[in-house]
Amino acid sequence: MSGPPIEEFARDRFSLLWKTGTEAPPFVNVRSTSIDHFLKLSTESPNEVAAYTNRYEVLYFDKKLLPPPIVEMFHIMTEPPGLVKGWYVPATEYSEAKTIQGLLARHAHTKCELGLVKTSESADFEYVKGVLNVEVQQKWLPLSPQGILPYTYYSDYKIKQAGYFLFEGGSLYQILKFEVITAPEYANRLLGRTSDDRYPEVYLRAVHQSSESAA
Amino acid sequence: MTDTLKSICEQCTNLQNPQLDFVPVGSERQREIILRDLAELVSAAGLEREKTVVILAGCVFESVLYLFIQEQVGFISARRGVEFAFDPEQSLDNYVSIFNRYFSDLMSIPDLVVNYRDLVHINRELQYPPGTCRAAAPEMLRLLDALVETLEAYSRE
Repeated sequence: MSGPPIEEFARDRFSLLWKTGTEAPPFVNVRSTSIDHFLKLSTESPNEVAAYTNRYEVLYFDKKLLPPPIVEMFHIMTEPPGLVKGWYVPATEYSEAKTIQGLLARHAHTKCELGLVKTSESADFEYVKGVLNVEVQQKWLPLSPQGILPYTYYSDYKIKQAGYFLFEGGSLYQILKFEVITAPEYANRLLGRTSDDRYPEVYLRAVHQSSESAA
Repeated sequence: MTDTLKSICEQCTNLQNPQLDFVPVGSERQREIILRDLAELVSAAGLEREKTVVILAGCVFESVLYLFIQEQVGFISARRGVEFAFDPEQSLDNYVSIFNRYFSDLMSIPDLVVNYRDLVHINRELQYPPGTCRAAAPEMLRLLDALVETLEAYSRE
């Protein structure tokens, strides 16, 4: 749990009928402690937390509050391997920005609005193809052909408006096209799958600092 | 040239002409509230009021999910195997969470809906770049239109 540090395991008992205002069986026994204390025990006295780490089920989490070791300890998967996260940059914003650093300065402190799992990349890293993901209940899940329709990057593309994706770390790509493909094999690379294994794949071209001034 | 809010809203047929089949019989007051808010939302979009659109769309998201989940308590209880007690005092975040848990095969509501609705607070808006409401408003309109369409289709099944 978050909040003030607790240097012990507190014991509580709650009735499973609490929503009805009844304090009667069946009860659930709860042991709670602070994240800091649990983390400290897991490194200094692993035996004390073994009961919690050997057999568990994660019912709820708030990943903003959890440090990476806890996320790894309980195998909380919130994003697929290789996911890069970033933001959509419309043509108007791109043309106003002087540099990639300028775009990063605008976005880096804000929550990422999209993720990309690359499915192929050219040998010179100039061209990238991938599946777009969005965050749903703290997990990054792939967009379906229907699910992508509300997003501005897709509607801008449909009206032939240029658009860009800026990713954490400073990679900038121009959107070339979207293409819906059927790829059951992608289910192994993503956290979720679409009901019919169809995904809107995005094709991107890298934009470099030197070519920015031409914008 | 990017679409205007007015033109985007005109394409959102479920917001322009809402049937609200998912609103339970006997919930006339709730229906009136949603219809009023949708009418104001369409009006605000027509006037290119980006912040109003974001906040009001978030408000309608909450209203729609509030009613839909209440109507689906029996279905959710059956899925869970234990009784599901809906707490109407919960927030949009909770409603979205409940919907995504039990109805994700219909549609997944992204977390950004809650993030955008929270732009009602100045401290949240200050965490985003200038122009965020302009970027958020079209997506809120389209996402809300998709949700209303999905729930109306589900209710007719």
